[in-house]
Amino acid sequence: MNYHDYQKRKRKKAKKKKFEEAEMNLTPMIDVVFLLLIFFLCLEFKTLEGKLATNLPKDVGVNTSQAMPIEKLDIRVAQVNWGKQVKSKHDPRRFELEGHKVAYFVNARRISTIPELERVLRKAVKVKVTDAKGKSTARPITIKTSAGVTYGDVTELIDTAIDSGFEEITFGGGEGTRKNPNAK
Amino acid sequence: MSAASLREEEAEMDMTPMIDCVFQLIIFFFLVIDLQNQELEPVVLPRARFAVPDEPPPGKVRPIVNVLQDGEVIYKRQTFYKEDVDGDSRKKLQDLLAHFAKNLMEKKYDPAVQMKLPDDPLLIRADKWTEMHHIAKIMETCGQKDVLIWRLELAVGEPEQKGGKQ
Repeated sequence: MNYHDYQKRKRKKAKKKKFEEAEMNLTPMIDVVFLLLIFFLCLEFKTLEGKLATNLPKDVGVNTSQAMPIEKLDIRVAQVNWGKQVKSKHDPRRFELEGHKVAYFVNARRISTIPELERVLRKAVKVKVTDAKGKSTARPITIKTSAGVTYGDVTELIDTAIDSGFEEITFGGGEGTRKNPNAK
Repeated sequence: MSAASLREEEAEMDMTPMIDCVFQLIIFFFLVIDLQNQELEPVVLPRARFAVPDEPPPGKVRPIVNVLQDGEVIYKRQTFYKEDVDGDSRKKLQDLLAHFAKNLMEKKYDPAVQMKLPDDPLLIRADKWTEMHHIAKIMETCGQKDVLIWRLELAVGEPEQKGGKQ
């Protein structure tokens, strides 16, 4: 090998080495991709929701048997203030109600706040009745809603009732199917 | 370059197929999750402290109806009642609930009414600000002769975190 060949090979080697140095390390990218995968999976599975169990009356109009009368606790939810309809900040297709207010009527007593309702229900749960199987339980609750009451108002009431110790919650009749005249 | 370092370079793994696989997996999971959530419309649920976690049994088709703010009733991305379109006619909704009662719910004899009634609950998912009269329409339809669904579950969200956003 002459001197020129040696120099040529040396330059080639140096060029190759430079090219090798430019190779990208993909390991962090893979790490990030895996993290993203885990993040999105967790985000999707986080959509786990809760549920509140309620009943509807089993009046089917064909029953000939003698029904045993059970003392119930009637709660009526009535709209006090429909509130101002404003567009949601997170989703402009939705609206929210600013200043929306309801009142609860436990038998005939008017209750305006949830803490007050909780106090009344905690007292009321102590009154026990005997069910069809002869077991002593809290009275079943019957919810009646007036026009302008929202799903959120009712779930709040059910949540408070469950917290107070009531087990059986049934929806009754009432003016629930009447459209709220204040709604747009 | 020494022979040893040359050998080391040759042993380097090509990561490209692995990245391809990972991307394919991401796409696959996205599609699977999207199909799973087809029953759930994006509604803002009210929060509750004492709700039972909703953990559907895998593979079981559950009767779920979504009620939007304007009262539109949706099941699997299909509208079954819309006030502007259907007015007082609840035929489509009644047919849907009758289908639930007949095909998706187990029936059990109820001595109180002396007949078999659907024993599985209907899950209602409504927006926090949906008026109850829209939901009352579903409840009324549940009491129709060919439906007779009497167990309901109302979907709620996790309790609000202190200091967290709503």
